[in-house]
Amino acid sequence: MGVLVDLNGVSKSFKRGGQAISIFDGLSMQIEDGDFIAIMGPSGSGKSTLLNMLGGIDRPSAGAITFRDERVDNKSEGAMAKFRARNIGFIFQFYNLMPTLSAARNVELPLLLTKLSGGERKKRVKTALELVQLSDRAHHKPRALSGGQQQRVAIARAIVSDPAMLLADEPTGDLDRKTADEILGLMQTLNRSLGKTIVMVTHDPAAARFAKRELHLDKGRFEERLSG
Amino acid sequence: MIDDLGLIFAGAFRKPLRAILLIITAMIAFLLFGMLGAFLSTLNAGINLTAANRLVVANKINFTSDLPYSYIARVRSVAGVTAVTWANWFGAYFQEPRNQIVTFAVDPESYLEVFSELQIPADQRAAFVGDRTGLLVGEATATRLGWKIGDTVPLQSNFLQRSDGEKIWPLTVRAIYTLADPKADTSALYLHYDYLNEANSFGKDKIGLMYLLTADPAQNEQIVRAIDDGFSTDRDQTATTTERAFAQGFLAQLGNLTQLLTSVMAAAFASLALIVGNTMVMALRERTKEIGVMKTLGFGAGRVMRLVIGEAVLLVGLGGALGLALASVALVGLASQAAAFFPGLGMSNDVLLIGAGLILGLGALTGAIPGVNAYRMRIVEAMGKGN
Repeated sequence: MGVLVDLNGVSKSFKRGGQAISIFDGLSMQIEDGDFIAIMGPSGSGKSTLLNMLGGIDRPSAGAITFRDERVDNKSEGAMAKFRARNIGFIFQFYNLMPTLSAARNVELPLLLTKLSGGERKKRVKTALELVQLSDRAHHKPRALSGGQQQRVAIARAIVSDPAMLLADEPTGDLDRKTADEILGLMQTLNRSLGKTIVMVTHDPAAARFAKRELHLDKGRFEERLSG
Repeated sequence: MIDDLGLIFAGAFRKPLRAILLIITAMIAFLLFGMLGAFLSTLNAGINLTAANRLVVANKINFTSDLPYSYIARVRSVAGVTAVTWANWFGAYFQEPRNQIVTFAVDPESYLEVFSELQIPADQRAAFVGDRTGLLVGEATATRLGWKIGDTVPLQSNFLQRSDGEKIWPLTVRAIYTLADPKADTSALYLHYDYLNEANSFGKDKIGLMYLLTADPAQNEQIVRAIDDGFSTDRDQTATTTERAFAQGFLAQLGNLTQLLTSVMAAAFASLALIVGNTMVMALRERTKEIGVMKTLGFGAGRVMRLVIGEAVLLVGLGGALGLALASVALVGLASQAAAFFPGLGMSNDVLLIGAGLILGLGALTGAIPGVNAYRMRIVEAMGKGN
């Protein structure tokens, strides 16, 4: 397995009330192809900020992030958007589906950024919904779906364009235990069967156990534990 | 499957009631625009039919005041004048005073020489010229009232009465004229000046307006001076202008009306812009997180901005199209009732084209602020606000 993402000496700080506040300083890590990492840590430790930087929606104050040996942190906004569309699938805590679109159309959204034909898009949406076992809910609007079903749609949306890496920010934070375990099991299947690299931020130790590795972020440093 | 247009539809109708109310607002504004625009367009239409070498001679006091018949010969003798004719306002109505029809008493031969754009079949022309009680009817009026060649038409005048006390002026339709431009006004009627002058109970040997042709438009200024100077010491002085200037001057008398109509339209569109713009800004604020998600998925800032502006254009477009369509239907109904004062009233291509431009312009304008906000929105902040 090769290195998919390399964070080298990454720092992040922001100004509040004229004072610079450092979230982390000189953070380094590598994410291997096919990895499933759970990032844990107390609130305010910078887990979500780290996830945002991995996904190219936030930039480090210093240091470098490379994705498959290509520097990504210094790309323009437009290039960063293309990078995200091609390589990253996002799964959010509150699903973040478009309320006016059906499940199928929500899943199709990332494919609008490709040059695929309508027919090809339809085929891929069907496959993605089958993978998350929601084919029979394709034409339902999000409000007609349960929380677990909405998260499955969000996962289908994340994988439909076949990205190299999935980033999940508290993907089970809004779900009951049983549904959460189903979602985590699904993510584990995606990792093990389809080789998807997954980085998941969570507060939940039970969720973290589904990952291959657990990284604890605290006071700007990582502590690694093997899991799974 | 969905595409950008589908996304625009979904976004615009996110809250159906709000979308429908915005569409109705736009529809009312464009209904007003369509109706008032058509009236203005009709008022201006006459100017486009004017000829560069045609001058109008009117009484200096007012164009409604008469001139002596003897002036015709004096104008004809001015150097550079190639033809002269005259026309008296008849103030006609058909059956009911509300059925007014623009009608002039003219000298047929000279009038058709000066206004050579009136297209009449040769036999009908000869029949009209040869019949003292003949009537030349515009195609629009003939069609509207179902008049045919040979029909006897009992016209009445608002202010003229025959010397025998009869109010009805029996006239026979001898010719029907058309104009080269099928959309030009062909509602006016023409009867013989001689018939009017002989049978009229008052104002004999008086003429209304004189129209003349000049050999060359370049001589117009010189001829205008020669005519007006020639009558400067007479009891009835003249005011001579080009036909175009005369038509514009006539419109200027309605200046306040034109300005009023324009102001009403401007107010309607200003209100529309404020209402739609404000609603779009609020709608975008509700969808901050959705915009953040789209950008997270990889939608570029420019594309997101276009989608937001597209929603405004769609809503204004639907309302605008409905408004213009309603105006077109309403104008068809109004055209016959207002034919006397607004001949040829109807939705013109110009009004439709301007309407289409306004739809695009207003849509883009009202979508611009939320569009730029969406363009500039940072993902991290958008997702944070949503939470």
